[in-house]
Amino acid sequence: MKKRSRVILGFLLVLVFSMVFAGCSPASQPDSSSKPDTSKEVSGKEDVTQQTVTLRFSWWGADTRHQATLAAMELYSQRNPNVKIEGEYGAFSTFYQKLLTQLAGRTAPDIISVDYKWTHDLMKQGSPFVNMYTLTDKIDMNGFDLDFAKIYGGDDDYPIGLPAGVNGMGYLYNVEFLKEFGIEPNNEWDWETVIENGKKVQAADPSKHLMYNISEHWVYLLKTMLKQINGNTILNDDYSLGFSRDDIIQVFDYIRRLVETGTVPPFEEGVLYENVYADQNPNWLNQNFGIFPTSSSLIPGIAAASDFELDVFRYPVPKDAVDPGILVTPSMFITIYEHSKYQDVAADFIDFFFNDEEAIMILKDTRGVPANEKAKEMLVREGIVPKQVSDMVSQSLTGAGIAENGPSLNPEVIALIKDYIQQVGYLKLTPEQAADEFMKELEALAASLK
Amino acid sequence: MATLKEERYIGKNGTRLETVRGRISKLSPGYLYILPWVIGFLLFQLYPFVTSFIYSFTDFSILKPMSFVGLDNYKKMFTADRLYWTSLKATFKYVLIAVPGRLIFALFIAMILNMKLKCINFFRTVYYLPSILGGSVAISILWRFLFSRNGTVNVLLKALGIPPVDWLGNPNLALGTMGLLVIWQFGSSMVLFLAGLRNIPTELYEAARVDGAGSVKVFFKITLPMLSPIIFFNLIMQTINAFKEFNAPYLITQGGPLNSTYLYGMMLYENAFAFLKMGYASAQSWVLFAIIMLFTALAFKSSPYWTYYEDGGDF
Amino acid sequence: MRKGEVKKNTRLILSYIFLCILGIIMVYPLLWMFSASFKTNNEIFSSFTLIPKKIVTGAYSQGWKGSGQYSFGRFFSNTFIMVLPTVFFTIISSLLVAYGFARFKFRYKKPLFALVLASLMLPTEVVIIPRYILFNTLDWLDSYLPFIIPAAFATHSFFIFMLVQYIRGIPKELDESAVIDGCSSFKILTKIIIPLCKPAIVSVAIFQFVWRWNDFLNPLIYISSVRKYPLSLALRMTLDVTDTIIWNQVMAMSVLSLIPPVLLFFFTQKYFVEGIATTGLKG
Repeated sequence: MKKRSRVILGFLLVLVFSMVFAGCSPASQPDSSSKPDTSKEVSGKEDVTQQTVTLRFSWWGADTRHQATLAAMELYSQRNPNVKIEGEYGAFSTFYQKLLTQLAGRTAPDIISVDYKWTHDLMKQGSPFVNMYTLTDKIDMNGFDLDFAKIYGGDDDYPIGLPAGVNGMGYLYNVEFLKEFGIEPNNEWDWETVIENGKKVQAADPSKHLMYNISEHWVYLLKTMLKQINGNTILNDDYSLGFSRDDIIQVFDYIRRLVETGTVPPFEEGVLYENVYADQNPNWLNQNFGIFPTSSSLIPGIAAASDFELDVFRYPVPKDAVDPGILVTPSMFITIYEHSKYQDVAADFIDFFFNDEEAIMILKDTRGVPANEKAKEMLVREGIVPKQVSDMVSQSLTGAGIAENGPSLNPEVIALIKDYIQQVGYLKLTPEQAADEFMKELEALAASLK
Repeated sequence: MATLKEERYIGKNGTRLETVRGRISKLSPGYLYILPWVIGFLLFQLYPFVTSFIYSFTDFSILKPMSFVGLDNYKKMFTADRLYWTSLKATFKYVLIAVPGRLIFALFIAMILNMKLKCINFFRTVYYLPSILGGSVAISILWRFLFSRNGTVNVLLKALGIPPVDWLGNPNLALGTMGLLVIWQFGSSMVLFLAGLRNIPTELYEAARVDGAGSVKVFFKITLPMLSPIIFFNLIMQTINAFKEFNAPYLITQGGPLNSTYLYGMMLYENAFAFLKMGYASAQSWVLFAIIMLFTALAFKSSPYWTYYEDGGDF
Repeated sequence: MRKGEVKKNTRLILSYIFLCILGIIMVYPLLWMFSASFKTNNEIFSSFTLIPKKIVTGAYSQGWKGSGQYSFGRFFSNTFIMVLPTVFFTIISSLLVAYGFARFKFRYKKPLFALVLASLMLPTEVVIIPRYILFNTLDWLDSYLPFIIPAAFATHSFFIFMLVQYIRGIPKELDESAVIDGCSSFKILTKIIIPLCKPAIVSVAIFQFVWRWNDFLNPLIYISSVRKYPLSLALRMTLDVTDTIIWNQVMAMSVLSLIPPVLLFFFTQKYFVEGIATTGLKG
């Protein structure tokens, strides 16, 4: 008996101990702001002009972006000797996980880069970023199209940040390859043109294919076609389906035809490269594929790896399209963390980052074609933006589709779409079967997300 | 003082000593030695464990305040998650491929590297290299080169007149191909076996040879039993790690094609950090915890029948 | 006699051939990485061969500079500062705990040992956030303390279990005779167990060194300042598809980052293959 009570006592102690710890979790005390956060280096009050302030700024990228951003930060510190900015930079693939952990621990940097795909999920969970409308007197936003920014980064009266660049979807192609097969690239392609030319390539050389899609792009293709058929996003704002059975059958059937005509490689072969871009695909580099549908931001990386001439043309839009459907999105939002101690300094830095002429010339196009008109004009004047990139963006703007909404960008919805595209692409399901099952599962998923 | 403590010290006759003088010192020095772990456990491990267990009964989504949902997460897993059973099945298959594959391969190579050969140090290092490479960025690039339609493996097969195979593109083969990568990184099991082989007294082998035992018999009668504690250790650790495997599908297949390599670890990661369903991911983790626990317990229960310890199995 | 010798020789030759062929498969990735550090982006992803068509030099000197702010010299020393104490404390703490479990009888030993193992069984994904909050509460974020201090308190259960298995393989008669000689339990640990466990201890050192050296997830979560990045983070610092990745520099730095673990393995292996049989105590 005695033994048992001691065991129980020990267990209780352990439990109490853990409960005390659990009390520190922000999850259980969502509104406590007693804990000091972010810039530990500085303690004290807000009078920032007098004191040394250390700001943290996080972004993802590679060498050119890192170096340009660091140089711009350096220039800002030279002009404002009391402000020190620490960069926290790394790879894109793990950036979101780190950001989520930091938001959970309330230790996120003062200035955060955010991808448009995350904003809806992040906003559903509160307001982690400072409303840009509250900063209009501190940041010159005249060069920005805030309506465009809000669609992908916030809602009607709450833009979470300013977009660094604009991305458009289009076809990147191998000039030599298309010439060899007598294919004429122009901005009038529709989906049938794609298949006709796909057949042409196969007839001339069965080992080559007109194009290849990565899994991300298959999802865009499906969503864009649906928009062109009926003018809706895949899920409406109220989480109801934005398409009919016939609509989705038409799209699935098209996907099947792409595979069966050999316009794209068989899934068994292509799936290996469905998560890397053309710059890492040996078949692209060895000129076995002619077209890579892509977003303009990826062009510089692909161009650096390709040993042949590249050019771009507009994404397919059928003549009778209800909505032209081409995806145009902001590339990266620069936001201020709600728990930042130095929101004013952060705002001042962002103003400098986007509007200062010297800063613009340092940062150049390292975050794509700038969303800020003023910066864009300057770079175009200096001939800094590569022609293919600016062409793809302007081509996409001639057919920009209705914007994606939160429900359509939900990662689970995207995972489901990918799944069914594979089922159709592997020819495991007929378009009709796939349509029925897909609609059933999407409805169930949408209901759970509401 | 020291001598009093030593009375608790157990040997083959230790139990008797203990009953005679054990009452003098209540606390075994064993407690003193495991104290660092006790503190470490209470400080660093208990809180995350308890918290994640609590999460599993909530709709915790990392950023929003959570609310309790009772057993909903557990119910959903078994009844309303279209991929749960697919993933669980793939994980079991993977464990069945990876664990025996790695153990047998590691033991086999360790036996060869235990021979007195020239340059053996060099060979041992070479065979440990894949384990040092770990999850290096080069691995996923290379793996695609090896197993693509026009990849190295198919080129070699073509020389033998075998038509090309989509190693990672065919949903029936992808899991097995992924298993190969994991078996290829067998270095740490090999090191443990090597150290274990060196510990087998040479006179046992000599005695067997005098008795005229063949090499197969020597292997089963001497090598295997003497290695059994290490085999046991490797078996448990490899099983635990295989059930939790995340890197291989994440680096190579992202769970595809057709979800054939959608291992449990991959599913957890997606639920937690892509779909922001941390509560649900926690529930799934605790189910996996229970499964692993069950397998480990079975292994421990069965171990007296097939492992041999110098301390006479007295634990 | 001679027949036996021939048989032995053929077996030896066959072993060599086998080891060499398999060895190529083992070492190929490293050779490829090395050759990739002299290739263009195009060639790295379009061909599998070892000899570059067009040799690009400067990947090592350019790559070493990092992204301009901190060089790889910094990242190397960061990694050593993080890994070495972690390895050292892991060895000490795991040895003590393993000795306690392997050689003493005490109440609740089995459930406690089950707890040791249980801590290996829960997937890390779901403890990342509570752990992060815990270290934040302790104010240890953005430092190496979340790696070093837990190691000092034997939280790497793998090594406890491993050492327990080895210690149990040491005949008890050895320490019993020491007890009779009046040795304290601690003296038995230092005079008998540790010398006999040398191969296992060296294995612990190698494993923990390699694993911490390559560990990516934990530093990603706990370290924010680029100034404090270990190699694993620094190597992936420039992998972003919306920018141009200079792959030969990534490969060059990856090759350099392998050198310390390879050297460690090469020069310490003689200890873990030097079993009890060769120390003369048992033989």
